Amino acid sequence: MLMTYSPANGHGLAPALRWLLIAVLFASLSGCGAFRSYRTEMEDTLSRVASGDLKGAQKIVKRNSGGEDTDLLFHLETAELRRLDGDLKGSFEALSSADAVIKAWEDAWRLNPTRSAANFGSYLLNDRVRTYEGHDFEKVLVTTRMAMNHLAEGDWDNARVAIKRTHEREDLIAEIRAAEYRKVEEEARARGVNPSVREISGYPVQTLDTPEENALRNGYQNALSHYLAGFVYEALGEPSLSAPGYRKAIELRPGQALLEKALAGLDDRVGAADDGFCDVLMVIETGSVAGRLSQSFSIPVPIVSSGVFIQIPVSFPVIPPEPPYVAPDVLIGHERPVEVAHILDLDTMARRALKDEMPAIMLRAFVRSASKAVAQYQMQEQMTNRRRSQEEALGSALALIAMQIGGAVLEQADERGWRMLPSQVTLARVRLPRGQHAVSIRSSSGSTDFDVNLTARHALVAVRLLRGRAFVSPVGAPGMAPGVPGLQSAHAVTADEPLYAEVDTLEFPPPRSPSRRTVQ
Amino acid sequence: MTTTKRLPWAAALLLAVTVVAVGGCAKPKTRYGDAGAVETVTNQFGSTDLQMLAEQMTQSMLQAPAIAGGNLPILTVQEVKNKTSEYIDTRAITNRMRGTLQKSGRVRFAVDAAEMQRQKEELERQGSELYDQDKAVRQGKMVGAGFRLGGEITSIVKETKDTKDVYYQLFLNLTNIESGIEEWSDTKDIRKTTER
Repeated sequence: MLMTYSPANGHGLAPALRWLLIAVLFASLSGCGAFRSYRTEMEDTLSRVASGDLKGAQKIVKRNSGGEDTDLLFHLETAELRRLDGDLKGSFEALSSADAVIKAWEDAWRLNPTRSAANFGSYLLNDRVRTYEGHDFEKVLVTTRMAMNHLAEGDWDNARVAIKRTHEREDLIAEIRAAEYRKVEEEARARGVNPSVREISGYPVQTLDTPEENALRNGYQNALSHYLAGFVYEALGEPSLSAPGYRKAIELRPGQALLEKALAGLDDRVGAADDGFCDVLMVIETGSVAGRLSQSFSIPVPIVSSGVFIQIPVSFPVIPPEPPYVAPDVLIGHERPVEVAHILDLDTMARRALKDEMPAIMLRAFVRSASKAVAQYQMQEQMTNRRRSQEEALGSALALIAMQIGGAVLEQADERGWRMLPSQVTLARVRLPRGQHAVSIRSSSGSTDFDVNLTARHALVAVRLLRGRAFVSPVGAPGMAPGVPGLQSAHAVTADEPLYAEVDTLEFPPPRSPSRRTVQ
Repeated sequence: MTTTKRLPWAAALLLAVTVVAVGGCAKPKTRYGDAGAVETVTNQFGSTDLQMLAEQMTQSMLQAPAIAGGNLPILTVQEVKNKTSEYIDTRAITNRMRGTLQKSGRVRFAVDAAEMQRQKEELERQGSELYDQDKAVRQGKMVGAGFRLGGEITSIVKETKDTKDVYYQLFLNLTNIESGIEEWSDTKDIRKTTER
């Protein structure tokens, strides 16, 4: 990457002081945003979840964000924590608030597709002061999560509404990104910049250039949302809408027999008479999605008029590698294995999102670096200017040190992201006679056992395995009576070498004595 | 003598902040439009495609001897298979056709498979002790259709960096249920190309 900048004619300390003054002004205007480490904050939250303190985790999220209505991440993390805490209504409220923020973003884009002045502070301080608009895959998952909450409550008609909105949101994101990539390309060309991560010396390119990431069609569509659409439309007797759902899921996640069977057998299933069986879809979610980490790099910025290079520290987000995922085994009645499909790798989607965002992140970083380089260069000039007194030179040196320290402190990459999302999602689908069945999920972190009571032709059960804890949703079936209990925990048994911390049996609400529970 | 006036940096900052603040004041406007107007917002399947296909297919079907014969045939509508990767509600196409055909007064429609459950429930409800059985409808009186209307919609999508081309084809057929003879069939095509 090559970016050049020429200093203005010398005006003493003024340019550097201006830079510092503006930086301080923006830092104060943006509160603590410029210095917040979202990764650290969420580690704290996740530790609370691991210890079973979901209310405490929610308090931490609220305390860190301030709980403002427009804070998208606050709503997203709260929605997920409330969901795990069995508060489906509260979760839906938080998702609705998040959805309103995303809708405002969509409307803002429609009114002004360029929106160049909206995040002016990020050109001066860092990307942490930018308004968090959510990564594209997160926006798509908001309505998917709303649909899953409706399904858990037996409200399949409103789940259908949320699913339909997911398709519409995907289409709009596709349109927005196509326009944005073109704009970044044009701007980069105009500035003579090649915004590729390969241009950042020392950047762990391999973390963003994996075969899994390259296999993704884009950074926002996911097979889970589409498979879920196929399943819901099928359950509601709409095969013409169900088929494209399954078809898109296959396109996004090819080579999975379970997904192909769903499409191949659709007409037979829809046309079949009720035989007393239930078609159960289990959505098994594991872990929390990989988070971004701010890492510092040094880039040389040339000063054209003097032919010198100034080394400027710049922070870019990286996503450290994660251990490989092994899909869990699902057993019915402790012995009958059920076919599973690893349908969604959100870690890879997070990497793809970062890869897609990097050109814009790099452009902003280089604009910041250029102004800092000019200010730094002028300071150095002041120091070495023989016509200046010793006192003035000392003043310049101190100002330069202050500016370098200030610049290093302010230069932090944006680590924000919806961290309460799972890292991996596996589906299991099986036809079982209606009635009660024992389900076992065996993963590298241990074994989870629970009972399901199936009462309709279709049912959906969501399971979350997170840091040694297991959370099982109520069985959602079309036409189910409202007022079902919230999420319940299942009895989790540790494996010999658990991946997570010690596994406890959680009691969500209200505490009950037996370790095995029947999910209604 | 020339004088160059430079904008003070503080003024530039103030201007930038004002632009951001004013930018947030724009409000979206809502208005009613013509539901039949041509819609070309994106090249996905849209309202104009739906209206065009349904209209063309209805006109074609009304010319079929089985319909034009004037003996008020009874039809049932089957699911039109969606073989595209787009979420196209094919019932919206057949519902529109059904409305136009019914208004023509040349066909009647029997309850289709999708409506059967609700029809059964209503019959059973009226058969319960809650109703005056002398005035309630009786079971076993439903009339079966003589013809079934079905079909499929397919698409071919070609996309390059600058162009997206989508081709839709709707195929419908009308089959005599008793004889299995196809009495009418037709295909209608739509091509949409978007240049970026």
